[in-house]
Amino acid sequence: MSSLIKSREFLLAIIIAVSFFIYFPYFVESPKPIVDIESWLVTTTVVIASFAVMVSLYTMTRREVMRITKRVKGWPYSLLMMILAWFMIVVGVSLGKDATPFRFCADAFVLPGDSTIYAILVFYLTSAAARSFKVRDLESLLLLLGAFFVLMQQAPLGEYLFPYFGPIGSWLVNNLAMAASRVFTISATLGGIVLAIRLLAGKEMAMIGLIARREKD
Amino acid sequence: MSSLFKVFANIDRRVWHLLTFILVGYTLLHPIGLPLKVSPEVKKAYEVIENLKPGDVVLINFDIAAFGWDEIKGSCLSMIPHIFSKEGVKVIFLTVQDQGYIFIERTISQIGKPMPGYDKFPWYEIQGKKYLQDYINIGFIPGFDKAIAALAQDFRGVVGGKDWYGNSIEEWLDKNGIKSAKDIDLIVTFDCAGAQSYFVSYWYVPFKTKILNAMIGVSAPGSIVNYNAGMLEGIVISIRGAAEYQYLSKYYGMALVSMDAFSIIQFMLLIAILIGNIGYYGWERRKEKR
Amino acid sequence: MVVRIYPFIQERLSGLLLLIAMFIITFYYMRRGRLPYIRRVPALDAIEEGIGRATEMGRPVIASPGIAVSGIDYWTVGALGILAHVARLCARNGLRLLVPLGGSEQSYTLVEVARDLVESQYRLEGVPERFDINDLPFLSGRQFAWATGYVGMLMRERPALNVMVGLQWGSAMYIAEVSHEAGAFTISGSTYLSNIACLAVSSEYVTIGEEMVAAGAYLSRDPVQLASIRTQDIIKALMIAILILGIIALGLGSDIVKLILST
Repeated sequence: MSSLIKSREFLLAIIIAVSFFIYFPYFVESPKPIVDIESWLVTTTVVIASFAVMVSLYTMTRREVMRITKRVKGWPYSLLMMILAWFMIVVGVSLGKDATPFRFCADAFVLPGDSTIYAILVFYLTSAAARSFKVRDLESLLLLLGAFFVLMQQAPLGEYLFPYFGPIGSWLVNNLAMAASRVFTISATLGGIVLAIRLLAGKEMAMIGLIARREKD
Repeated sequence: MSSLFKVFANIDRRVWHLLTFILVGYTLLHPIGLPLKVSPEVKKAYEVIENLKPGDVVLINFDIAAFGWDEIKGSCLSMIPHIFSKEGVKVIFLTVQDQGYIFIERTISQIGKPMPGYDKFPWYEIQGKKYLQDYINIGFIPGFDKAIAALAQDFRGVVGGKDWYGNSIEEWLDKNGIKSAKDIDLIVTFDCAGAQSYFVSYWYVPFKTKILNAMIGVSAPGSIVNYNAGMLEGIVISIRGAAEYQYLSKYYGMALVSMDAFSIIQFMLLIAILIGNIGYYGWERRKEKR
Repeated sequence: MVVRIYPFIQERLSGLLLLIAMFIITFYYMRRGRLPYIRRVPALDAIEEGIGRATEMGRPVIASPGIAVSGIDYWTVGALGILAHVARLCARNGLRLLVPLGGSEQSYTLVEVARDLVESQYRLEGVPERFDINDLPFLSGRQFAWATGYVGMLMRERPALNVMVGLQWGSAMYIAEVSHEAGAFTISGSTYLSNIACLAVSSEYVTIGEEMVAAGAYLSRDPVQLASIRTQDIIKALMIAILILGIIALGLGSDIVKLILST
């Protein structure tokens, strides 16, 4: 029984069955039982997503405990991370998300830490502007001109000094940048479809592993 | 002269970091008060909210994590009070980010006050609108894109019968005629991670639900595509959009104050590029040729 | 005017036909004896140059398959192809390979796949003992916490080569700058429009969008991935043709193309 459940054919059967119940009602008017199964499957993914957090917690804990016990270089940081992470988990689960210690940890450590790292970007952006934005050829000149107009359109001072920065910057964003963005959207969509096709064919490396696929082929 | 070029070419990055800190810090503390032009996208977003009718149901999604809060809070603290100022409008708060519920509560505590006889969440009133009479908070639904798809598929099933605090909301949903996703009249999504694309796919495409999107700057290109395609009714881009919305709605805040610092940093970027290029052409390139 | 053909749901039949066409084309190329031709992407030369640099300097290599926001998606599979190539070259040259994993809630799904992939490359090169799972840590499920860990690895280990491919968001700029500060040769792959300009100027080499996926397919010589690339190229050519036809039709006052596409 366990060998059946672990087999590639069984996984493939589940993928094909689920795909049918998702695709079919999307394109074709379907009877209510099929639509209900589709709803149930979509809702179930929300449940599975919550387990993602637990799995990552388990793998992270296992690795960090191993690093601490083996006194690997940097193990005090692993210890600190374990203490903070498990403190928040224990407090949150036992006292609730509104408990003062939990809210304190979130408001004093997690949120400011996240904000700070994002804010650091502006400093690296200015040093990158001086270091990297060099006009070496025609392409980089065009890139720089585009950046100049968009920056001036965004800055209120820019439009105040020269009103035409606004229309030029908007044109660049609404035509050139948007065209590029549409290309990415179409590529990602088509890529998602072919990935689904590969999964349905049972040929996707991520599903069956690289060695297993090479041995089979 | 060549020593000047050499200096320009070799400016330590920490000098730029320090200059950034000083300029931005000073302008935030002493704003200059530069004029601000309102863009058509923000104006459209404003008009959509302004034209809300009694009985309309608005779903407000907080796809907000800590890193994006400072950029997007200007939009939250102006658009949400504007929504609550409309007579008879019902509001459902939810979030698809695990940190989002913290920002929902922060927003509510900043724009509202505790209801008489209560002193903690969720019992806040905002512009006279009371919790569990005019608005509810469903809280965090895990799964991000899967959560958005599941809500569109089976709204009541995913929401369940209770709000984020354990209070029953079945009666409230029945009373306001909210049985499925089709009963939502407007979605306002505050994005740090691009949730608007999933709302467009799973809500706009099948139900043609109106969507307004306020987002951080890096998510703007994706939103502009959908706005220009007519799938988003209005967009409020980053802190500049927030400042414009604050100006239109008259719920003034830090976003407006930050516009001067915003302008200064844009100019500083250009000056940094100019100095870098002067150093490159005056020193580095000659060094390469030698 | 909108045409509806029962029992298909309105405005979805054209999408279904496109899906069926993609199935047929992909299966045809997968089953064909010959591998579809894909031109060599210039990024591959940059990777080999970087590996050569790392070998000469005796410094490690750091490679990241991105933050995998939607789990194992299209961009991540391409990035895994490049990661496999980098792992193979590192195993062959006796270089240490660091792979910081994480960056989003769904990135845990990538952890075991990436580790299995890298370990497989070391085994295929005949040096399984050189693989160290501690060099492939899962740093965090949060983007900026992962980026901070990545940057920490860059500053401590001082790698000679940094290969940053896959889905990257705002943290990419930060990592690229610190990578330069650490003295690494940086190759990045951008699938996010906002990052392209920044990565183009701060990395030594950048692959834009599908170049990265094509590089992964080219390197793997996997008939399945190559068939996928070929299918997408055919469908994109078809879309360009439909676009041009639609513009001409609209110019002549007819919305027949629009009508067909919205069936």
